[in-house]
Amino acid sequence: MFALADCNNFYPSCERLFRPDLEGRPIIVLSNNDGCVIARSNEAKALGIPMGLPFFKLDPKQRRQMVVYSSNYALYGDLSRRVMQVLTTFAPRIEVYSIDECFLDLSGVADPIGEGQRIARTVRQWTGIPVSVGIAPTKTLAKLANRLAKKGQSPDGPVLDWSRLEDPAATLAGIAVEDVWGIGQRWGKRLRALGIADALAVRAAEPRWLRQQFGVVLERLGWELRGRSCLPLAALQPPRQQILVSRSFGAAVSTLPALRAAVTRFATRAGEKLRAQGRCAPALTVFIQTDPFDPARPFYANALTLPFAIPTQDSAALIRQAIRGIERLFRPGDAYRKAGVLLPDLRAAEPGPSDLFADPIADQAAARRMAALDAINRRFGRDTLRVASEMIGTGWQRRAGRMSPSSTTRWSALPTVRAC
Amino acid sequence: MEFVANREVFLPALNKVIGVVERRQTLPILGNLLIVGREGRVTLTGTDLEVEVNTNFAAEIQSEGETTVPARKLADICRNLPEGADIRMRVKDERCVVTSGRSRFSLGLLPAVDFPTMDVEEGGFPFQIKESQLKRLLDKTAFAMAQQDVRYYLNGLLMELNPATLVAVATDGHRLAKFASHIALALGESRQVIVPNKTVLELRRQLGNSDEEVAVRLGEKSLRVVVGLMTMTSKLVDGRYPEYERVIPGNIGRMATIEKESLKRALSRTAILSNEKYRGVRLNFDQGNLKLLAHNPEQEEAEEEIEMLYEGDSISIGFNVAYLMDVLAAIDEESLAVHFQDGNSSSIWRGLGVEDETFVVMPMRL
Repeated sequence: MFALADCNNFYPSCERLFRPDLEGRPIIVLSNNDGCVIARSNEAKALGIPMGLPFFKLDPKQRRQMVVYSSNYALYGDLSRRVMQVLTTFAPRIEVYSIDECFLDLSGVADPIGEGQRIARTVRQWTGIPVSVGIAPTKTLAKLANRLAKKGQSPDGPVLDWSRLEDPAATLAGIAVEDVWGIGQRWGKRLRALGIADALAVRAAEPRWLRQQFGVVLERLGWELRGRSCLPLAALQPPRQQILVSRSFGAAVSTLPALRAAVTRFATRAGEKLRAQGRCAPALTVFIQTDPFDPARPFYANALTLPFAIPTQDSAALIRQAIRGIERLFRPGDAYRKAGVLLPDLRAAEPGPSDLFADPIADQAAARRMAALDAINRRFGRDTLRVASEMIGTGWQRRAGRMSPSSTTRWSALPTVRAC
Repeated sequence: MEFVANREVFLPALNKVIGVVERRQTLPILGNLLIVGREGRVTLTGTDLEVEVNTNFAAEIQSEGETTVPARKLADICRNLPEGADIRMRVKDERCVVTSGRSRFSLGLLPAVDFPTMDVEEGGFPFQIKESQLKRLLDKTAFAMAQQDVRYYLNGLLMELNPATLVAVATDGHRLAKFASHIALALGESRQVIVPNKTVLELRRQLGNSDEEVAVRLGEKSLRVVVGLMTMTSKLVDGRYPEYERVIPGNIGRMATIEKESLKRALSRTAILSNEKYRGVRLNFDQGNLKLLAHNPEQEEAEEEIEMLYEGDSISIGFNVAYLMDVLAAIDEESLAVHFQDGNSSSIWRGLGVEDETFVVMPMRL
């Protein structure tokens, strides 16, 4: 038996946490650089704000009714961690599926509905985040159950147990094929062309036929919809295969120093993540692009992958490589809107030399330097110690004018409560 | 140009030159062979601009001349003609017509003047070496060359010429192979050149085990090897090879003697349950007993023990099993000697009692 615990309107719920006065008011959260709407509270949904709406297209009248936030990933990430921590106490094995979703193994639990309600209550009480819980014999059905629970179609409040549905077939018939977990737009189109338009039709299809037409992934989904579990909990998060740090710029960037500063920043961040995960990078990809929506200039996007002789964890090496890349990609006269650094094919960092021609003394010195850098920035706050090339050149920083304070991760942002 | 040659002469010659022709070329003409018929002989040449191979054979030449034709198509046609067939090639109206018995093929051609032949470098250092000796040198070392390393100088084989030895070294940074061939070379001081990866593999493919002398000429920028009728000319890698002696550990305290076949078989069995990506197998050296251990992310485990000669502390070292298998394949003796220090340092592998070969393998952390 699986349960899927999914936070309700996670980003708006996080924003409400320290602003209880926003309860009941419509909230929207915007993407990087305040471009599009990426999360909506129920009230905002009720006002008909669509997902992905470019912010500038929002009707000014509606905009005035709305509480608008820039995305505050420090806050969301930290609250997500807290929610997951609470969930670990409820099951021997869990799978953190995304920032706001988590599968739990409920096998052997006598009263799954009661347990689900306890989960929802405890998470709400301990973290302040509302969650819905879908319970079913397979992960795919748990995902659907959770959707129904969110829509308030359960007699058990925030919890919906698939086995309690009176007419599961009718429920499945009401779910569009694209809304089944794992079926995207492309497969949806192909399925529809074959006369399969809803979840019930996928369930009715012969699993072997699904495999012939679409491969084993869809055959598994077919079995999962029939109630036979094919997708086990991926309890251990597989180590990351790649790290991507990219930003759209707040304003167009057309100078090399500013780009250099930006990729230095990205490479630094990527290095921090790399070391935190104990991995090392055999290569670095750097990419830039101009504004794809600018009708006045031709679009230019390019990327360059530069391998390292020996896989590295050293930010200095990453930065050198990123700058080398950006200097080769840069074309004077272009106005860049976005750049990024990608570390592909990550592998485990081995202590000690892994290459005959490595310089162990220099490597150890670099490792100590990075350890000191990370320790200082952890203790005194990110950016306490920065690489100089990041500060030579500005103008690329992101626009986030409506960001809430990072109340759970910065001392200076602790909320103040006045008791009268 | 027009000539007639027997398939059993033509095809072997084609097979000698086809190896250097890349399947996908930058220039169309690099997919072609240069064919020259002159003075009773036909010369075939293939190139990829880095390495060039040519050979020749006697043929009945009706009219002299030269052209270039698609290499693989020509080779496939000859291969599929019946054994012993006579093959006629004739250039006519911008086509090359190949006929044999009742078969007829009309191939497209490109002008021979456009074919990029390599400049012959004057001078250089010439020496002779037995074919089998040169083959052995490459067999012992070529496997350790890097394939596409950023350190481009590792994508080749180091040939070091000393007054009394010809030494070959190859390494990809994770393992190193070195072999010394004893041969008197009339030169004053040692010289190092790096022969590109592809040249080494192609040469190795062509060399046999005869005791015929192979003529080698080492120039500043190129290498020329003549084996019978075949001549291979290759550019050299322009770079400095790292100081390989520095990474061959000197003072190593511990030594074990292992029977090669039993280690090979035990390794291939344990490797089944090693991590598919990293291929790690742990070797535990203990008094008289070698234990092999492997496990994978699915928590499956393999364990195997074999006997060996070893007196010393228990030491455990992780290895990439593919590297060990390469080394075992390069060792001729039935027993091998492995010298090691601890789980963090590289080890040296050799055939038991053999001094000329050195295989260094880095440990891996498991």
